[in-house]
Amino acid sequence: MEHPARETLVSYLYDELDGSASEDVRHHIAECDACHAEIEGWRRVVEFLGEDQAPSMRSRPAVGLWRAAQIAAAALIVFATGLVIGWSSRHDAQALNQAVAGLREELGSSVRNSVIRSLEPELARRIDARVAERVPEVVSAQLEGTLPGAVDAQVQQARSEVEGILRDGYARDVRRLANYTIHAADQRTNASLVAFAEAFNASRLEDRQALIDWLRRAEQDRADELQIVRQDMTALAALTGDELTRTRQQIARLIAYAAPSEGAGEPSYRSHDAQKGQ
Amino acid sequence: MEDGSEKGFAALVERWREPIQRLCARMVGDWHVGEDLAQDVFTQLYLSRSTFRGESSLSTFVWRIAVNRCRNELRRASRSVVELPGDEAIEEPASASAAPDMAVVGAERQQIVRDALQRLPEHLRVVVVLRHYEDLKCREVAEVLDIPEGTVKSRMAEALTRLARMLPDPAEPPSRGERQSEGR
Repeated sequence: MEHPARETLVSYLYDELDGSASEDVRHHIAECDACHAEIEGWRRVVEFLGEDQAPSMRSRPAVGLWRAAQIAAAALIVFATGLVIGWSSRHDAQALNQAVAGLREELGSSVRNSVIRSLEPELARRIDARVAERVPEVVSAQLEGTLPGAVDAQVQQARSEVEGILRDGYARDVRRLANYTIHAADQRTNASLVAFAEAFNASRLEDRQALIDWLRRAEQDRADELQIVRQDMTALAALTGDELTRTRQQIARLIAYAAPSEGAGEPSYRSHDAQKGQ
Repeated sequence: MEDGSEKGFAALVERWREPIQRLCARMVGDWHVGEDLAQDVFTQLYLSRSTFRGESSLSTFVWRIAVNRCRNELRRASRSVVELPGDEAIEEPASASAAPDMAVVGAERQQIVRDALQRLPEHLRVVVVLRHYEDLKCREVAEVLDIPEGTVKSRMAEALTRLARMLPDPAEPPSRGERQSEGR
């Protein structure tokens, strides 16, 4: 058997277990040093606790009477001592009378106090009963007159306090919400600016690359056009040269054609050419 | 008391005066203060008699008011309970070895018990007082204190263990053979 729980040991100690469970714990304790030591320690405590007997709870009157008896005994001793002293010193009855008066006064006081103490519980009970009988009526009658106004005032005060609390709380919430919103807006703005800057940079790089490409293409086109122009000029020059050659040959042929009819009434182109040449 | 009559209340006071005075006295460690507290308890009982609905037993209702009154008094008087140190520093118990006169020994032991009880924390002391001195079952103590029954038992175990450390050393424990016979 495993060690029983301490709660179980407490139940066993105070005989709150049923028969079989109690028997199991009993067997375990007989075999287990640790549990045996624990339960024995508790039993010793229970034994000690049993030595503290409460005094009779009607103790105050009893104590009062006991006190009175003590005082009376002391007074008797004083009285007897006084008698002995008085006789032995042959003093007259004055000292004796004084002792008796003192004793009577002290005894009367103690007995009176004892009686008062003994009557206290009954007196208190009667006062309680009287108070219980009368106080509710008086209090309720007084409350009926003053209660509505007092309640209204309390309600008004509570309402103003609650309103103040709510107002403060509302203002605090609004401030907190505004701060939160501004903070969130700042964050979103910053994020947008960063995105815009990145997009702007990307776009600028893209535009620059496109411009460079366009310039390259334009330069290439210009080079191509120059090449074409050069070819055209070359072709034109060639054509012009050929034409000049043909023209010159034609002129020569024309000159040659005009030479035989020179002086025969045929128009002479030679003199004209010669004049032009001169 | 349920009908609120004075006669019924007087009977209740007659029935419960001594137990409540005992409880209060043991809780605060002073018999006269206990008497005053008991009077407060009955005053409170009278004033709150209309709140008793019979959901718990009358005895639970009475014990609960008394326990709460004692707690308030302890709190008010700031009677701080001396906590026991840990297991490694167990306080020396009062010696009971040097008292040959049996009457003196008895009075000393009684005072030792009262002192030890007052040195327990309030939540352990109330369990000991209700279970041991007022002879309530653990289930009833649990109802009065409004805590689980297992908690009552564990607190009782803790209280007994602490008291065992505070009280004087026991005689030699019985031998294994004696225990065997006890077990049978």
